[in-house]
Amino acid sequence: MRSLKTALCLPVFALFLATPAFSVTITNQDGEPRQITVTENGARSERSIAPSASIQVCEQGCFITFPDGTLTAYQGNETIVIRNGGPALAN
Amino acid sequence: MILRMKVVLVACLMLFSGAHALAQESAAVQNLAADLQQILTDLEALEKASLAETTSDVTLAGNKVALQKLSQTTFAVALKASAGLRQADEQIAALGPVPDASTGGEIEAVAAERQRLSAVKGESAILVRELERVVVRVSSLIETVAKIRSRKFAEEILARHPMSSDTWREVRESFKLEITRLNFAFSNWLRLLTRGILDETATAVLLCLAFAAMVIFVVRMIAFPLSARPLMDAEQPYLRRVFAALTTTMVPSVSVAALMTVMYMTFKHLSLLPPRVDEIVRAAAIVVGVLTFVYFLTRAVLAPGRRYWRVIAVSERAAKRLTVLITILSVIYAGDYLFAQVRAAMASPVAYTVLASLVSTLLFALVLSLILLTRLGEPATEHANDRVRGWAPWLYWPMWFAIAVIVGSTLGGYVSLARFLSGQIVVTGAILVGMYVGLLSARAVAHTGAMGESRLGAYLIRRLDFSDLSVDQLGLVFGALIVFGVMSVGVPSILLQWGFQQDDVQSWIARALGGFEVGDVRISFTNIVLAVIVFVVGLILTRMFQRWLAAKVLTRTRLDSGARHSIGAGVGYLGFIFAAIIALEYSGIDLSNLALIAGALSVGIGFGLQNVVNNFVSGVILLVERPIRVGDWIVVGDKQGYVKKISVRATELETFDRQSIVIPNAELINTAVGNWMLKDSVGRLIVEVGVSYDANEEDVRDILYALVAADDRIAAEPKPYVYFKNFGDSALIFEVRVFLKDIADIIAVAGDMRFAIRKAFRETGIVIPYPQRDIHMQTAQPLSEAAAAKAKEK
Repeated sequence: MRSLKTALCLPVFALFLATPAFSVTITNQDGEPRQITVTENGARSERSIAPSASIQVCEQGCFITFPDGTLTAYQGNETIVIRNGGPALAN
Repeated sequence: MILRMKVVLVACLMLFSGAHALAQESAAVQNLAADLQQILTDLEALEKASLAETTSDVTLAGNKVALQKLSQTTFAVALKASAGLRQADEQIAALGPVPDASTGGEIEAVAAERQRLSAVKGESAILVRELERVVVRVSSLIETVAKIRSRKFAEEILARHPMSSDTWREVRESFKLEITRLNFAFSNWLRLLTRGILDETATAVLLCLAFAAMVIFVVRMIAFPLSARPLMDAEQPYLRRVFAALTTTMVPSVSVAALMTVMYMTFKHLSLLPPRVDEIVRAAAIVVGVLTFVYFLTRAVLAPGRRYWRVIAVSERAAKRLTVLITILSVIYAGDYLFAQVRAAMASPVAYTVLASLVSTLLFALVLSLILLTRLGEPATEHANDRVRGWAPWLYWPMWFAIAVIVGSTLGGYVSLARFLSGQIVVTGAILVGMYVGLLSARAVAHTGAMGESRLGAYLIRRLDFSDLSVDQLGLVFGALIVFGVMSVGVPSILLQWGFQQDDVQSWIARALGGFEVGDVRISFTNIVLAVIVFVVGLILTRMFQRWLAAKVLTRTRLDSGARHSIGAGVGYLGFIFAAIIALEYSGIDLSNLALIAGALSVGIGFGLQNVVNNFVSGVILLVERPIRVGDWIVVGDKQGYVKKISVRATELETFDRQSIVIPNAELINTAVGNWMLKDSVGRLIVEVGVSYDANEEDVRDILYALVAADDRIAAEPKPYVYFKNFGDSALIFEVRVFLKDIADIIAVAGDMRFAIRKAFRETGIVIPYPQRDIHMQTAQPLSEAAAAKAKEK
């Protein structure tokens, strides 16, 4: 029964430990840290990106407000860089 | 000048395409703006509908779904607007930088274009901003709706309707009236049925009777033979019990449910159900269906009187008692439901609800207490390993507590709370029982040897050469999968039952199954399970391919068994590697991070695994080059024997003492290995014989050749040769050098030849001498003279 008890714990464990995986990658190509506001599922939150650092946000699409005031909607699979406070697609 | 012309050209081209595109663009922006307006209108409507005091919970639930859809629509519009924004941006950038006034400024057309694009860009940006605000508003409205729903639910549950004297009076006074009303409704119905339109009623009744007859026939044919199993008076494997329980439940339940549905639909279709009667009849039909299901399920699971078929192994007495009690419980529950529907249909006063709730919850509490007081197990030796010994404490005491709460709240007037609790107990209890059976099944499957007895296991062993151990391990895997399935169905069901929101539970499940991140590694359970399944399937396919290859393809080639074995083994390894690679791909485990660690460890591992890898590579070389094959007689150092098995790491040798020696493959590759059977099975035998100096060497030679010719195990080519080896100290030494057809006979031939030599020499009087010495003694007088002198003296 012991191996079953372990198998029993796994899904419960997973259920409570689950954290989502993000998909929009934002890289800060400026020389100073930048603040962006992410509106995901109707909730706004602030994120800070250090220079030359990348973060990942948005598993299913969100709005992002950039330091220069640009507000754009993203689907959830884009790669973006910040240049001069504004967004640009990485490719 | 040239620059100016270029700009003009570009501008004209852009104008032609741009005019068209621009028309499209402004139309697109206008469409989006219209979409935004629509969204705002919808939002206002939903807001108004949700915040009204009289909104029902059902409406609120519907509103929430609508709001979620609205959020998605809004986001879709926002994506389009953002795309338009980006496009406008790109086109503005394509126009190039604004030339300053010193070069004459911009061409009018280009400037106008730039202005229009800026306008489009501005409008799109505003749209996106508005849409973002809408999304935030929708989200907060969804939260508000959820709060309102919980508040209303709490109000409803904790509503107090005490059984006061007023209530009693109301019941007493309205009783006659209510009965009359009910009577009226039903007599109306009867009149409708028997009205001049006899045809319809007759048709309906006939149809129903026919269908009922068919159902009864089906049930008797299928279900009752199944339950005639008491004749099989032997211990049944657990899975068979579960399966039997399922079939004996589902067949009658489904039939009865079908029957009820058909009857109801027939009557409804023929318009034989006036509104109030309709609700009551429908409730009755549902009640009959559910009661049938519960009855058959209880009988199947507890199997009173048929202890070998019992799915939950309680004692016989407990089984009988529990079946009765649970049936009574379901009747109470069903009756309560039916009565509630009648009250709803007849719009009876609230007093009846209070009275009915009081009666049904108290009865429910009573029966539940009786159930809890049942002693589940007996000291008898029934179903030794999964016998139920008694109520689990974590279930027993909370249930008593719940009963106390139910009784207390009923008597205190909190009828809704009591009803809610009793409903929850029944449903949660049912789910828990289902999960328990599922877990027992999983344990039965994973039990050592259980899989091997099943049909699937037998198939795998017989047809696909799976070993008993592998089938056992497969059983373990299946057991784990069943547990996982049970948990992932059972736990969310219970959560939903207790009021957690469906989409919360759904999103938890999606996260759990879809994957979560531990640091940088992404782990997904579905992927892992899928990977395991893919791997097992891959192994099975490889095995099948190997068997097909061995049976159909390799038998047609002229390769010997060693070669065939090599190819089969090689295919097996390849298949294993492929299956592993594909499974790893499926699992989605990103190995690149592990590569760093692996790199660091690889030095140490490299040193440690040096020999193993050496052996493995040598094994592959052995398979390919085949200096030794299975069945060859080889000599390695001082060990010799027949090769029994060549595996990845080592080769198994069986000596003539029947001792198995496992030799690492590296030794076979790196040292000289003698193989008597590499080219052919011919080998040389040398038998040495010493003959007295008195014998005639020509005779000896002839005899030996004759003996050689007489033995047909000795090959004619290369020619046998009798070799006069040496003038030994004691004898003339001859060697018989022959080649045997099969070197494996060497011992036998050598022994037989020595026997034959002895026999021949005895017959011809040739002596095989003992070690001989001629002794010469140095004396003053030769011995012969001394002897003669002595003789003379005598």
